[in-house]
Amino acid sequence: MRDAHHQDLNLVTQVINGHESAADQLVERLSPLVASIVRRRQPRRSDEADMSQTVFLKIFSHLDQYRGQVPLEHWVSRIAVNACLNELRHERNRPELRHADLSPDHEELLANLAQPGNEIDPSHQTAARELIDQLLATLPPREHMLISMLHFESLSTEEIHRMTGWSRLAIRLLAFRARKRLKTQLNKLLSTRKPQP
Amino acid sequence: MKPLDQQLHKLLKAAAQAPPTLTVTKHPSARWLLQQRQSRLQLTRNPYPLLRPALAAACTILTLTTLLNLHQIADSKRDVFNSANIALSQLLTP
Repeated sequence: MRDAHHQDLNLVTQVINGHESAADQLVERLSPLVASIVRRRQPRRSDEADMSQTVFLKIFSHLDQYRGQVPLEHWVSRIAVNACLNELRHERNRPELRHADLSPDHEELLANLAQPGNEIDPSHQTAARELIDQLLATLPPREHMLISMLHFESLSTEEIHRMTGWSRLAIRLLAFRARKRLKTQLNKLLSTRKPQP
Repeated sequence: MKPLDQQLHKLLKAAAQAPPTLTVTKHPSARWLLQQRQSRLQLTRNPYPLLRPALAAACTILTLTTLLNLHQIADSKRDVFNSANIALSQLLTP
């Protein structure tokens, strides 16, 4: 493990000294990680490539601060998560989702959801993802990100703690609050739903 | 588990199983990133690159105008004495 950190530090030192091949190697290695983080957490109004570029710029400008005490991937994850979080914070307008905003697909999905016991039909999975994305957009940034990490990436509290630096207690508290807000929103949507013929 | 909890759980589960949208993210080139890093470093070392030459130019202009003013003051003093001398000589001549 220590050797791996040492190799990371060597690579970073080469990049700091301006070695282009080392920089290439670093970008190639980190691209999938940065892309996966940005794709799942990108704010609605930003472009994925732009967000990726912002994250890489931050990584390269703060390379001097990497001391090799943690794996490079963890250090990069924190930078990427914080960059996405900052972007989400700039999107101040978080209107509540109303029933009138829903598409016919979402209507069907809600009808499916209202039936007790049934699992959601696989044909409604995309609509479910869209609806959840809309509901998540109404949450505060940290709660939005946390729900994505817990449910779409199946990350554990420990993994989220390592990626974000948030305390375990804060993670549990944020998850509780986020689910409560989501339930309130969902309840409103289900209660204002038109009765099916 | 309450019905609403179950519904949210079902919704989240279905959303997680939704097929991912296929997108290819372009990453910036390493050369460009290195250039950006270098320019940023230069900027932190010398945050106001125009300040020093601008200050030097301002000091030079100030010195030149001061010298010019002093020269003009000396000239005008000489003029004052000259006109006084002329006036005196005119008064004294019969």
